[in-house]
Amino acid sequence: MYETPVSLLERIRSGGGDSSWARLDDVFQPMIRRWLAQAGIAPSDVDDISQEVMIITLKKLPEFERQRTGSFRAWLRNVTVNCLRDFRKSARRKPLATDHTHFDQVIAELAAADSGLSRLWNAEHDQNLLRYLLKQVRAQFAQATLKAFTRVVLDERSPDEVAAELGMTVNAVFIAKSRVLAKLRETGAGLIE
Amino acid sequence: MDRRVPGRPALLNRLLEASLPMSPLVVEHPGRESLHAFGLGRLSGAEAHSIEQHVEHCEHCCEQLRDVADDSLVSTLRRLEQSAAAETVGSAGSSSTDLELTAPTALHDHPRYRIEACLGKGGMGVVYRAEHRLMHRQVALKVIHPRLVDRPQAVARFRQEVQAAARLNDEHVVHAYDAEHVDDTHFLVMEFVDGESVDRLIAEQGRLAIATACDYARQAALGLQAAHRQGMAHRDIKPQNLMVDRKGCVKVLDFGLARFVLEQHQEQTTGLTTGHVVLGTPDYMAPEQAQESHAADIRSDIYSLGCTLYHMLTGQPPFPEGSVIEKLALHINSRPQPLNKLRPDMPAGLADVIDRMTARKPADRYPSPADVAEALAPYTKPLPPEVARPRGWLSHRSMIAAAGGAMLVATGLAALTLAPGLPTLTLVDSRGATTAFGDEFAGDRLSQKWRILQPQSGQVSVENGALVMVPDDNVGWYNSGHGMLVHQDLKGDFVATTRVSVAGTRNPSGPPTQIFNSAGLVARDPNSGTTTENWIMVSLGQQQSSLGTKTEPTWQSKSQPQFQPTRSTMGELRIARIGDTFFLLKKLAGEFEWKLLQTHTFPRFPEVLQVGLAVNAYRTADIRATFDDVRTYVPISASDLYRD
Repeated sequence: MYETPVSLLERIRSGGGDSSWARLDDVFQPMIRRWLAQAGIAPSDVDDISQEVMIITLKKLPEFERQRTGSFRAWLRNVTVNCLRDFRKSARRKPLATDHTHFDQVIAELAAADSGLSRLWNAEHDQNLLRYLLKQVRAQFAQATLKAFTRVVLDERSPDEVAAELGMTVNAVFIAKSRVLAKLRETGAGLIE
Repeated sequence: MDRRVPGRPALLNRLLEASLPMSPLVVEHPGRESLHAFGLGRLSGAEAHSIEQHVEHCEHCCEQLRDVADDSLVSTLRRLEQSAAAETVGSAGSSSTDLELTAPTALHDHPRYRIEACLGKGGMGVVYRAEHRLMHRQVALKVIHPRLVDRPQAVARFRQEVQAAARLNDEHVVHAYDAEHVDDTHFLVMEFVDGESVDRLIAEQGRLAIATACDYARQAALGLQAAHRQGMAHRDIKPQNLMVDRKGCVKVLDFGLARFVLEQHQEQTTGLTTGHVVLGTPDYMAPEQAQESHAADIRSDIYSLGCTLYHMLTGQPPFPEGSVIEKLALHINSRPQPLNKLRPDMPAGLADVIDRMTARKPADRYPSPADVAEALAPYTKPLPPEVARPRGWLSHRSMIAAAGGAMLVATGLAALTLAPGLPTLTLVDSRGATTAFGDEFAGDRLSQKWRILQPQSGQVSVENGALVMVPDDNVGWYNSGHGMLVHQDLKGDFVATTRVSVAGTRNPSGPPTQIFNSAGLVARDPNSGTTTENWIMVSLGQQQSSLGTKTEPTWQSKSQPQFQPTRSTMGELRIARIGDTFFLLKKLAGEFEWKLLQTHTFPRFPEVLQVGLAVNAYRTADIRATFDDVRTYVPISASDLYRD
């Protein structure tokens, strides 16, 4: 019997050309675009580079899963570094004199794992992915469960307060938290951590 | 219940223990590790299920779960920007109608305040409108994010700052009344301002009128002066912190809180990234603050107010591009685009005032906000309308160089207003309609002055003013033209706007349909004497043979291109030329919103100019692109462009 894979990574890999592409694009393209923009890449280049990153990512994903040495976000960062390098070399980019050095700087910073830009990358990646995962899993929970999770984790309210607010036991609040976290981990397997 | 009996023979205890799982009377708690793993959602399947069933009724384990420390997933979730998280979980988050759930329970049935509405969320916490039950006056309650007041020292600092701010009593400062708390919920009680913040005003209206912007900045300076007299600085002056009430009175928000928040974040975060994420925008931050936050004094506020005024006048902060880190560096090392370039209708002298407010060295700025207020006062009166005509601009019945360098092309029917340097272009139609442009060049009028170059036979045609391209199913990428599609030699006065819009695809469910528009310009300098050298070519778009291969440019140029290749994956591209400046525009979501991609000014008006448009489509898409708004005006000689 065919079962729909639970993890996002699985679904990206097994979805077949178009749906894989769409999903990958959906999850990561906004993050990469935002990051490139924040790094000061010209808007006109952001289109090209982010698309290229997506193309390479889709192509090389099986390789990543086979070899699997570090985290996905570090791997994706390297893909992006390589795309930036290719782009820099290619004839497509005819950088204006002022813009030239900046582009190289961005590449160098992103290539170094502990640079400010790489840390910005990590933060963007994690936040973007979790936002996406939250959106993905929400349909699978009852409103009360989701609400309890939101209050106690996202809003950082105390379990007692949340329990009183929602008219449930503190035990139920912890269960809600556990369930949603478990689903997030399951869906994000291979991508988070 | 523990059936083991102290003092009983060990064997008996072992037997009792062995029987535990079987006995309904005995509770077997999950091990500490399993329980913690459960609390973090690290278990799955049967294991998670059985622990869940146990936890449901077990007080003991419930207590244990309180001690589970956050792991990286949970702490990243907690750091998610609150508003984004609320949006993500949608109805599970808060909504203003769901008031009882939105306001912290601690504030329900508060003896003094009755919560009326949620006004908004910020990095610091959530703000509510409330009524003081006894005084019957409206107040704003800012509930401070629990993370900021999670330690006694932090609470003490919070109160200290609010007490200092509460001493400020000035019509241009949002009055802080008190810091209160119910259990662990800390909130600030402050004056309720019925109005809008300046950042919202800019978002709604775009840049502000010069007199208005100067008046707002002057009033804010008066508020700062009141604080300065008490030895206080604000440290986070930005459009979001200036409130304008219904009478036009400006009030500075959040005195004291900026320092408190920065301190707390600095104590709590170590990594550079986290630090920058919480710092928010450095758009208005004084150089000395970026380098050493403790160095900030009232002159840093003057700098930030200068940047805020810059933003009000131009619609963008001084350094709109770049990452947080780069912006910090720009404030330290660079000067922003000159104001009169972005807004040439600036009265003489105002730019100098702003330059002095934003001088790099604090000692070069105005010594006090009162001096700023005084310096701005002359510019707060509306100026008589003045039509300035910059040199080199053409005076012609069809073209008016409007006051302020905001360029205006009036055609009788429609006006196209370009604000150079601004990210958006606003199309203003004098009839209030958006169709005024389209009809003019319908049908064969299109081809009267323009002709299609290099149409690939049968694939490109003009039908009723629309450029229709039908890609061959068997071809991977279809590129509509390697050269320019439309060509016209242009000499003299000329205004052209062109547009390609993708009207539809034949096979929406097919493979990921990749469509993008390209547009280009080719110009030849009259002085070059040759046709190949000094050609400036602009190409928006590129060709791609198939998904997964390298993209290649469709254009070649022998000289240094002045534009970077750009394309629009969807929507409309437009090339507009006014005077000797070209504008490449992309249409945004709104009917009137255009993003200015690039501009280029020719040093000499070109002798030959080609304007081209193309649509590229992936495989099965049948692209119907409308192509309109190609217009030429009465040609005059090129030299006329340079007359005064």
